[in-house]
Amino acid sequence: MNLRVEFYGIPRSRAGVSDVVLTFETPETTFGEVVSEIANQFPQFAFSCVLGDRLLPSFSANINGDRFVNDPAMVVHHGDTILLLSSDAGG
Amino acid sequence: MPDRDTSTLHAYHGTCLRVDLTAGAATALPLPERRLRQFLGGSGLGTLLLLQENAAAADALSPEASLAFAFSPLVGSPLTTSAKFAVVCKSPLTERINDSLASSGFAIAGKKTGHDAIVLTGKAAVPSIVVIDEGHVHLEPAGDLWGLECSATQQRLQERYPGGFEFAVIGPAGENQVLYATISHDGRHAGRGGSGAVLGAKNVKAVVVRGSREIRWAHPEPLIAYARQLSKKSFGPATAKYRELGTATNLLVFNRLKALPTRNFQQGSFAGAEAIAPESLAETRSRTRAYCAACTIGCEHLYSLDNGKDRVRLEYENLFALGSLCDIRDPEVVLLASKRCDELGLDTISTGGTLAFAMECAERGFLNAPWLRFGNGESLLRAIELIAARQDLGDVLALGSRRLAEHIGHDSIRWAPQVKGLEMPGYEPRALQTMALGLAVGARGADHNRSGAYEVDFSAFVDRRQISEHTARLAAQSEDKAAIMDSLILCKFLRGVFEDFYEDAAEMLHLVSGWDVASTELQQIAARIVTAKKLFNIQAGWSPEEDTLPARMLSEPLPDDPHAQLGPAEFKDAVSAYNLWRNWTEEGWICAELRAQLDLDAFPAAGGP
Repeated sequence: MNLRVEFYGIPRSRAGVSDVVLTFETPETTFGEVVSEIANQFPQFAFSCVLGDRLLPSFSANINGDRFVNDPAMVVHHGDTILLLSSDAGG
Repeated sequence: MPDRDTSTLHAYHGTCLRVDLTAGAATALPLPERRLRQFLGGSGLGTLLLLQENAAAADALSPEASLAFAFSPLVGSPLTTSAKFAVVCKSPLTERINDSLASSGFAIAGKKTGHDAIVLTGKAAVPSIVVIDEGHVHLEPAGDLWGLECSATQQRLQERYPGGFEFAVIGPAGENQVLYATISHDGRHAGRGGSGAVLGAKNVKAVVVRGSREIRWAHPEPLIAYARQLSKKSFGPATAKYRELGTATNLLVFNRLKALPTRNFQQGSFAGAEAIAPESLAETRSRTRAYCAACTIGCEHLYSLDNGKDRVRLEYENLFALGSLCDIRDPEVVLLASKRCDELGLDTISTGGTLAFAMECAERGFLNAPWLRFGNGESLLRAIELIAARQDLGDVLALGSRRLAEHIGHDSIRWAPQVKGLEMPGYEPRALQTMALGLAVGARGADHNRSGAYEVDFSAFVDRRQISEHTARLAAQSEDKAAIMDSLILCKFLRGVFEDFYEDAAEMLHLVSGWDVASTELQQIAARIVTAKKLFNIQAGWSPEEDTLPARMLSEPLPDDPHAQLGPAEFKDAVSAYNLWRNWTEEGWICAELRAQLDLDAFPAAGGP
């Protein structure tokens, strides 16, 4: 299965890319697995934004522009797009 | 609580300086400890002072109107981001309470004059500078400054008053009483609601302060230790966005979520977002950072203009209001427009909101201004100059979108982007529905500073495109937290570093003032401040129909996101639930029992049941 991950704000500056496509061998996976995989690929992102299989509280994830998620057990599916951004939307 | 001798107070001076500009006289009035503890400072204290002045009854631009510069218990302490002040007055734009905050040296110097607040009332006979040097107050003529832009005024004042003075000034927009003119200090602005017009109507070009009165802290050594810890946390991940990128980095996120107001809230996404986003600007323009006094975050990011010489502070709100809202895709135009607003002393959100509304009206043929079109950068820049000068069409644009809609007719009020007359910030309500409620019920109108409910929408707690049974509580809690931050005063960009905000706030207040304040008391203080603002509005003529959104947002889904839809009935229910959560009546009136409970019974609530 393939997933697209888009990075915004600090996650983008740490990852050094605006987006990436991840491939998993299984038909579905969990949000925690996705976070771990991104952390493996982008050490600077892992250092600043991740604790285990979770994002630090200062960062958020959204699936497909619809739902915000923070539960590592949340199932994500082929074709989903995960947005990683700073939690604080203040302007 | 019994009132102590004010000379024994910590963190406060226990006095307010009241300057009567008509008489050219100043009086130091005592501020009882009981009231200081009930309202803290900043926004809360300013609201109390306006209630005491009976300011709701006066026309906002009349000599009888009062305007308060309110400092706070943390100002002058080593706590990071605490050098802030509130400007509180009746807004000429909304005719409701207005509290706008700004930062830096003016707050420290103002408090060092020996006062917790400075209230201006009356009207100077000629354009004047109000000079407050320690306890001495006098007016000086400002004829040579009248007409100067904000930074030029500040520069001239620095030459004229060397040696520790700080300045709050207005630009041409304030002089000309544009209803959304700002008060500027050191390039930053008490921006919303038109406090600059209030100063202009009083013939005050600048307020100049200097002082040497030391502020005593109740527990100085633990305070320093706490401040060190707080500064350390302020370098952590919770503030990284502000330090490294600034608020403008919201743009691409909001655009992706279709929550970025575009073309006068006709869309939630903007085709030109990439072009004006700070991520793109940083590739082609030099960028520098700036800090307010006593701040360790340094959220201000300044971008160079094409001339390579001038730099512009760029915030998300400028970018949205003068960019996507007006469909401007040329970053140089957005930067120039931001700079001109800063120099002329115009609130960027209201400027962009009013112009986007005018553009839509012109496009529909309801406003005879064929030159004013979405996407036309030249017309945006031209209109900004006309507004500040109140020339030609600028004269009615200077009144804001609500009054412009009344002028235009054709039921255009349905799409005027305002609540209570205040133009809406860059949060599309249909896409962020907890925030939608926060915008509708806000005492000063559509506002992202007194309600941070967007944070709830950006979380897994709610479906952001759905009003739920929790919406009212979450919106009220966000507003309460903001009331405490705006009264202590701490920068909101620090809020992510606190694990338990009320516990930390109580600790800070204890260290500076010596008061043993529990979290529960702070929550009651928040409720009192929010209710006091509502009380002011009721005195000023508030009615329940004001607590809503523009009709278009309650009747049409967002065209580029059909899931983003608000219904009028469910929205009204949410407003009622919010009112009941606050222990107000379902319609939003305040009963005598609650006023007594919050020690607000000295202030009558005219109207209502």
